[in-house]
Parts: sequence; C-alpha cells; structure tokens
Amino acid sequence: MHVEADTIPDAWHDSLRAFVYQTDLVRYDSMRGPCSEVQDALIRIRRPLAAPMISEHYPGELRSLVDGYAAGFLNHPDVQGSTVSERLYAWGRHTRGGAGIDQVARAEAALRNEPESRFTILTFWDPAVDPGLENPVSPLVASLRVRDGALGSTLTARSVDAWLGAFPMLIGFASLVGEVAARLELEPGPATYLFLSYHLYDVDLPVVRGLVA
Amino acid sequence: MSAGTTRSFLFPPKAFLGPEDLRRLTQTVVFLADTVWVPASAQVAPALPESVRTDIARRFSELVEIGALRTWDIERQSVFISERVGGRLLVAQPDINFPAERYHALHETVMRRLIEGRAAFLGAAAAGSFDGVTEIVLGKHTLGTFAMRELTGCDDILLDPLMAETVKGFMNPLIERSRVAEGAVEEIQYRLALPDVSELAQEQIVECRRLMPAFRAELFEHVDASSPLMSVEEARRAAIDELLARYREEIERTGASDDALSGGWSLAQLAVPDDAVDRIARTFFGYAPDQDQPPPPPALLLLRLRQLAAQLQGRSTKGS
Repeated sequence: MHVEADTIPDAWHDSLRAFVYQTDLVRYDSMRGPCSEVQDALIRIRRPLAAPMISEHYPGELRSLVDGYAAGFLNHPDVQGSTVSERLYAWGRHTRGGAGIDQVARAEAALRNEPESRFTILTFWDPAVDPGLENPVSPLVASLRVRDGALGSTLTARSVDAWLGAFPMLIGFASLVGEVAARLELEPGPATYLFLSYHLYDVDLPVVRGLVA
Repeated sequence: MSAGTTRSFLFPPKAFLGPEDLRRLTQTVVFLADTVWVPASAQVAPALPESVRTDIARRFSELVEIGALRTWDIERQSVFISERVGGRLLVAQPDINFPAERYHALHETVMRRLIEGRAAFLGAAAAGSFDGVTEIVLGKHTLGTFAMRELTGCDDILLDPLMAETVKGFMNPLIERSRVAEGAVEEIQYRLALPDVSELAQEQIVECRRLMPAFRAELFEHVDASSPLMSVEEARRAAIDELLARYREEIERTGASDDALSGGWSLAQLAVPDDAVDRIARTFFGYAPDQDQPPPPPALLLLRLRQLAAQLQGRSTKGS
C-alpha cells in the first residue's frame, strides 16, 4: 500500500480503502483480536500540520486518546509514564540510570549545525527492554533532515491499528516535527510514515466498509 | 437455574481455529452450553497439517449439524473477508446475519465505553511505562466481545486466559461465573480421568448433551451459591468439592465401583460396567433417555463419560 495525500485526514481515508478494495491482505489473529493486515504500508503526507488534523469521521470520543498520545511526543508534563516520551526525552534512564538522553534536544542541535545530515535519527525501540514488554512501544525510529529549506521527516512504526491508532501516530509525530521546525525557524516539510503492520480489526471492519463505500 | 433452562456461550472472535479451540468448543457444548456462537468468518488455521485441518473442519460441521454450534455474521463480513484474504469458510451461510446499521450503533457505544474506561485499560501499565494506544486496542477487543455477546444474546463468553486477564480489572460478575464454571469442568475432567470430549463420536456428543442440562444446572447452582467474597479459585474449588461429593453419593447409592475418588486407582479400574449407566438411570432414578421422563440426575453425565473413557482406553489398549 502506498498512499500520498495532502493532509492527515485525507491520507487516513485513502489508507482505509486498502482494507475494502485490496485483495492481497494478510489475515492474522493478534492478541487484540482478528484482523486484516497490510504489511509495510507507506503513507506520505505533503502538509502534515494542515488543519483540520483529525477527520470528521473519526469518533469524537477518541480525540482525547489522540491528544494523550501526541503529548508523549511533545514531552508534555502530564504524560508521565509514556514510553514514547521517555524514549525521546530520557533515553536509557531506566537501563543506564541518570536523566537519560534528550534525543530531541540533540537532534535540534545537530540540525542547527548540519541541517542536511543523514545522521539525525531518533530511536524508540530499546532491544534491552522492549522484547520483554507486554505492550512495547510502537514507533521504532525517526529521521529528521532539511531539504529545500523545509524540515522533512520519516517515522517507522512496527504496528498501527488503522481505525483507532492511526491518528495518534500520524498527529503525534507531525506535532513533534512541527515544534522542532518552529524552534529551528524552518518550514515543516512532508512527513513519511512506514507502518510495518497496518491492520484493521474485525470489530471495526463494518464501520470502515460503511465509511469507505 | 433449572435443568430446563437453556444456555448459550459466545466464542470470542478469532480468525483461525486450531485443535485447542475445537477441544474447548466441544467441552463447552458437552458440559455447559446448549449453543456456542462462533463468528462465521472463522477458518481453520492454514498452517496446520492437512489431516488436522480436515479433522477440525469435520468436527466443526458435526457440531453445527447437531445444533451445538451456531454462527453469526455482520452484513456477510465473512464473505467480504475471505474474498480479500483467501481461505475457505467453515459454513456457507451464517445462522444469523446482523445488519450493519444495528452494529454501527453498538460500535459507537464501544468507542464511548473505551474512553470512559481508559484508566482501567491502562491499568497497572500506567504505573510503569505505557504506549498509550496498544493498551486501549486490547480494551477495544474486550469491549467488542462484550458487544457481540449483547448482539447475539448469549448468556456467557467463553474467555481464553488472555482475555480473562484483561477483563480482570473490571470483571463483570457474569464473566466471573463463567470462569468458575469452565475451570470446574477442566478440573473435574482431570480428577475423574474423563476422556477428551473432542475425541468422542458425534452420536456420543449428542448423548452427553442430553445429560448435560442437569449437570450444568447443578454446577451453576453451586457457582451461584459461592460467597461474593470468594476468589475465582476459591469458588471453583468449592463447586468442584460439591459436585464430586454428589458424584460420590450417587456412586455409593447405586453400588457402582469407583476407586478414583479414594486414590490408588488405575485406568482399568475406571470402567463403569457397560450397562451401569442404563441400570443406574432406570433402576434408581426412573429415567430413560428416550422417553419424556423427569430429567436425569446431574452425575449421570459424569458416569457416562467415565464409561466412555473406559471404552476409549480399551480400544487404545487393543490397538497397541
């Protein structure tokens, strides 16, 4: 699946079409229920911060979930315990002790010194911790680089629920890139997402069929 | 609960069924449920050897044929899925096909409850580290299963250990009751060396199911009588003790030989004489399976299964 769209809601809607029209889906019994899976879903969004960032078709009740998850990307003080926040802003605090590494601060410093570098990487997955966790962190690695004067970005995530989890992931990372771009006085560029497993649970399929059709 | 009450279970949605699923389904329709509702989208696990796949499909069809299993669908989603992912459905037509509109309203409720109960789903994870979405997705599966129970009108959910753990924090008493009952059945099967019921022939399952309502009524009577202060384990233990006490009483009353409860028994000793079940039924309880008579005594199901265990053991000894 390769989706390219202007905004996050458009990209989400187009990505859902895969579950209705694609015929090479993989059936899978996750511990969270039966689902149909697209492997290595690639989603590219040209204007990731364009409003509105959430589709009108996304259940209103779930917006607090999006806000909560996005807050982890932004190191909001209310998100104590968020693995995403810990990995970005205090990497290794649990395994190495001390305050941990603030990867975002380091990335900003690197982008100031060498904006086009391909070394500006943020990592989330910790092989010393995550394989043993019941709910390991979903984002794996991100890249930030300046191209054509804009801050381009890529996020790879291991697993995303297309109905419930896509907006938290898409908006969370886009918000981080937006904040970094603002601090660096750059324009935010396109954002690319690679989801190793992009899946739709059976429980949501009837609703998605109605929405896409 | 009277012996005449019917009882249906929901088998939580699964894409693929394997031998363990069939074992649990068969056990449930022999001991606890008149009907178990299974999603029509379920297929046999593709990675299994062909012979095992054939056995599972055959047993599934047999249980459907006798009305023990029924299938549900939503707007023929099963066909929609199989067209996109391939594989062969186990039933051509579901017993019930819910319209999408009815499901949509339920789905909205699930999403609302999910956020209302967000703290419970994050649970202990929030004390350490949490992803924030994966925990909620697990909650969605749980609530979605509860929603399907409501849609199908089932009395209980056949919880697997993982889901039982997930719902622990906000356990519905109804679910707790089912866990006690299913756990008691597992333990009684072990204690009395009853056969793996998934190996019984279709007609033997039908016969056992005729004896099941009385057994189930007594089981749930003991489960319901357990104190709300008891843990699931304590309630299960109490129900087992009661059932085995009744079983022992009836063995003593009928004079049938059974050393299993006093220890030192062997499989050969488990054999209830071939005619014992009929004799016990006709002589002591005035029950004849083929006639419209008062219900059989609760322990008759266990006695019959003991007899079948002996027959299976005899067959395997002869074969070896």
